[in-house]
Amino acid sequence: MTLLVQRLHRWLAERLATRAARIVATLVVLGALAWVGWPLLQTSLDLQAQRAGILKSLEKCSAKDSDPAALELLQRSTVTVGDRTYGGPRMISRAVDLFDEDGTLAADVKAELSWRLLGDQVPLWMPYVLVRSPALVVGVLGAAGAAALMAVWLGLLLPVLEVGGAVAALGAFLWWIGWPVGTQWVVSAALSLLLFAFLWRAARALLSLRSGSFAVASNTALEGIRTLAAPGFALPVALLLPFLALSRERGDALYQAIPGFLDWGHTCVYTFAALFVIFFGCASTSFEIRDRQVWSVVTKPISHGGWLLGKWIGTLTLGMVVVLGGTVLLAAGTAYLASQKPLDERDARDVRNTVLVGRVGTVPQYEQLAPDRLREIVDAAIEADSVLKADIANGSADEAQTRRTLATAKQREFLEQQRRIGPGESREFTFRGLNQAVALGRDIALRYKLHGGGEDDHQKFPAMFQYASGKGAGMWELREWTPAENYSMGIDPKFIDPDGTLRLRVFSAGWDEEKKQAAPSPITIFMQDDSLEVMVNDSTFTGNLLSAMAVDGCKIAFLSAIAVVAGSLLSFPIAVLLAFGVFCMATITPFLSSSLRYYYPDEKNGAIVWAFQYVVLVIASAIEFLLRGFAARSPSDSLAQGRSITWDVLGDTVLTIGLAWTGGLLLLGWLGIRRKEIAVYSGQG
Amino acid sequence: MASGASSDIVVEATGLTKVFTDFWLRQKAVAVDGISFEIRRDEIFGLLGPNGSGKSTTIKMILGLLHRTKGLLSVFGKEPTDVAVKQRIGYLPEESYMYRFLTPVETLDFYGKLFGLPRNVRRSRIDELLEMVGMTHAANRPVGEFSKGMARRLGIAQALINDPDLLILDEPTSGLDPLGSRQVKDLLLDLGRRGKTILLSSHQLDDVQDVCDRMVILYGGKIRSEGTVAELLEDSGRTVITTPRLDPATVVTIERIIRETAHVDVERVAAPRQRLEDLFLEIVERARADKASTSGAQAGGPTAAFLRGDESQGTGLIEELAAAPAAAPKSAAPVAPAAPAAPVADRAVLDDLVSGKPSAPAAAPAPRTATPDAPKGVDQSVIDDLLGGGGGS
Repeated sequence: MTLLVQRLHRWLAERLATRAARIVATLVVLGALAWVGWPLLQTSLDLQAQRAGILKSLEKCSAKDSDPAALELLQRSTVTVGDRTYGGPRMISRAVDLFDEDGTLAADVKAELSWRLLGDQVPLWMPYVLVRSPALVVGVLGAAGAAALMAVWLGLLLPVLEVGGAVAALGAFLWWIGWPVGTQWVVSAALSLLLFAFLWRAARALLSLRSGSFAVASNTALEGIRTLAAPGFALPVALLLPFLALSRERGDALYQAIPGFLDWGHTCVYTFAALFVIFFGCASTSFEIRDRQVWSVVTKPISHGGWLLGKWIGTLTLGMVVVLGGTVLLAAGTAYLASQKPLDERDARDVRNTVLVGRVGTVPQYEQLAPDRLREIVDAAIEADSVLKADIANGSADEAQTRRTLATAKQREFLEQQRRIGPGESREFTFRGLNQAVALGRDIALRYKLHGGGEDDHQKFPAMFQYASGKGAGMWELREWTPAENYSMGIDPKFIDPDGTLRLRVFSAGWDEEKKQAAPSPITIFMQDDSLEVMVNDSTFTGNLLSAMAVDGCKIAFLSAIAVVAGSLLSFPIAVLLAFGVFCMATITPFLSSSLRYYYPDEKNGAIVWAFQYVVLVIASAIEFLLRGFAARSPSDSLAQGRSITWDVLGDTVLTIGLAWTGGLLLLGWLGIRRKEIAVYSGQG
Repeated sequence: MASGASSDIVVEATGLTKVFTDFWLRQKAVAVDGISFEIRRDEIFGLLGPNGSGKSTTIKMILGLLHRTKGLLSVFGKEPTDVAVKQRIGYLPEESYMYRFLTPVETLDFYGKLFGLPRNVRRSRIDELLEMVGMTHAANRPVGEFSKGMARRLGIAQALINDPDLLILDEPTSGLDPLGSRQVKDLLLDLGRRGKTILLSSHQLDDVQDVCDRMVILYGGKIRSEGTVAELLEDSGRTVITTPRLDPATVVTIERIIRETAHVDVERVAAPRQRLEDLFLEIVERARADKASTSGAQAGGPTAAFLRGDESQGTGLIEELAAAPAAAPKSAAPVAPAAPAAPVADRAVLDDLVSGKPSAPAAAPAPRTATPDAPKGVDQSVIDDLLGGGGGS
């Protein structure tokens, strides 16, 4: 049976490799594109026209002015265009939430609402994302057509047909047993693998220069593909990301599902890319030296350094294929989730304003104790503690260390006092540097996440926010909050002073409707480092995603350099241990930083233990110092929180990790390998 | 370093030494010990020696894979580690270390790219080389599926992809069948005629003898012998006079003359030819007799009994031998060479040979021929008339 299949495969391969077969296949592809594309394009154009009509109807839609469109929307949750009525209570649950304080619809609300109203008009077979733009339809069809034609003329037609056939069969089976999500998953995974296959081909084409290092790089890339190392690490990405996107529960808010997908998905992409370059980089380099293939290379006109550079380029290229493919899948998954029906208006707004954006945050400035004041407090604390005072006097406690510990504790206490708001109390927070955002007309919002009340996420507590700056000083807003949940509140630029300062007073209090006065909240509000932040829109989601990819690329370049340099100088197990160890240490550096704040060698445990603790402190501090920049630049958090990866951060990452660290490592590797004796003494002559 | 016609010298080594050390920089092995040699342009140079004599180490130093400890070494007048020099070198290692995931076409294409060959040149050379080494049928199979011989052929092809000026071959016929070996030797001769310089290291002494112009023989990292094939294989302690085939009587005569004039006995009369293998073993034995040190393999012992499958027999045999008194072995009496038959010679002829004076040819004694019996019933007078009236003697 196997033999029969192999013969059939070989026969098909020979037939499909002929020019005639390729021409026929090209015609079939073009025909299929026309058959699928024309209805898609027609539908998309039609929907665009309908959308234009809806937007025109919503042009004058003020509830304050009792416009007919506004009244229809508020009373029946519908919009009428000509003889067609869109919407209904099923689509718009609370129409009143659509309107802002002026009783009008914001431009972005109109845009989102128009698409939502067309939801019923989109055929089931049509991907919703294609509805939004005929240009996108043309683009997708063009890309699919180009990919199909490339498959035909690059000899990939048979693998595509075989894989496509298997996928279609499996998908049909899953549909038949009543698991349509499974069908979507299988098809998405297959398309993802196809994407990776094309990226590998493109990578090899990119590396097909005649120069020595690029020849080595191309060979290395081919090794990664042919030995199935690269596919082995790309496969989990191709399977997991579609699964993550499709596994959203119906009741999950998009506001939480999308950040969750971005967080997990990006972590998955980065981790697999990092692990791949570490293992493959070490293996490819060290095994080539061990198995002596390198003899036949460095006896050609290429230096040892040129060979090392080629290994790095090849490894990095394959790693970037995982990153690039993963980024495309992240974008596709996010687009898919964003096209799903939101839970309610707030969910839709939060997705627009806080998730699918790139924002820059400003945290409030807290006061610090002045050095003189801090010294007074420490002196008073020592004076008040007779035991401590005696220990210092008789030398059993080190005075400098004691004073340092006390000062840190007192400063922390002072800080925490500023972050605590008792029942009925208030505290003012100052945010600076917002003048540019105001000048550029960027959207500004306050992100807050408060703690208290035993962190019970089923309870809600009141808080009031009063503006103490700008033209609207004195105005306030009432909000409810659940402990440890993120909330967002838009801030009008009129509340910001001309110098870019926003002062905001937070009350742990609510509003008593009967007594028409403020009423203290029953709990104390506690703030952490990330509790209050003013967010300013700085970039688009797509731009942010591309920046994240660039940051990942720099990190992967660094890890590739560690791997190939270690592999060129050490045996495979030791090289992997070193490279993987650096990767782990770099990743946990934030935790190391926090831990080091509370770690001190203690003389009370004896000299030997103290010495050991001191050595640990020195090593840990050195690692933290060297690698703190690596983990600090984590795109996963930025993407999930809708934070912009700014040009400063990107530039710093490129210069530091991408050029300085990576270049330095490669230079070290070159210095090591240029004098390394590639051959060994075998005692055989 | 080079002087005179330096452009004629492709590789020059002076006092070349390589000492391997361990991690603590203690001397582990002296693989090459102060050797000096030259490889000239257009010659096929042989590097011979037993295992551990320093052949491969020398080659690796020439290629820059190892760094020399002492001495001078130049290739085309430059340091071996000079990248530009490698443009002119083709190298076949002792084993064909190929990328298992590549096909022969891809392998040669990769190495061609390293040499900076344009695409069309690479393509045509790849086709020609694969045909030359008989690998066209397997051009698109992964190298990992190849036998040793096939990989070796591909190795030869990759060594020639850049049409090198200096071809370094380490055991080129290893793993090849006799036909393949013959083809390689013919190829080397052809390349030599085309003006290529070839450095050949091999254990196949017949191969070296057939193709090399000059050679060195290494043992223990030192050069034990150096010269052309003719010089090395010449036996200076004897004289060989080559003549067309002589009849035994003449041979005997010549032997007698040599004995009487030169007072030496002719040792052997045969078709003389010293084998390279004999010379090789002679040199190694001489070196061992000198107790010269070597970092390589020593003489091997007998095959282990469990590999032969007769371990119990061997034990019983030893016991038997230990139990019975050993009979005094008879020493074999040397067989004296048979004394040559006493020659019957014409002294006058030999005297003339020695003195150099020509002598009147001695009247040849009338051959004694037996008169045939006259046939019965024949008229003898007719015969007598035919003979001029004279009768037979």
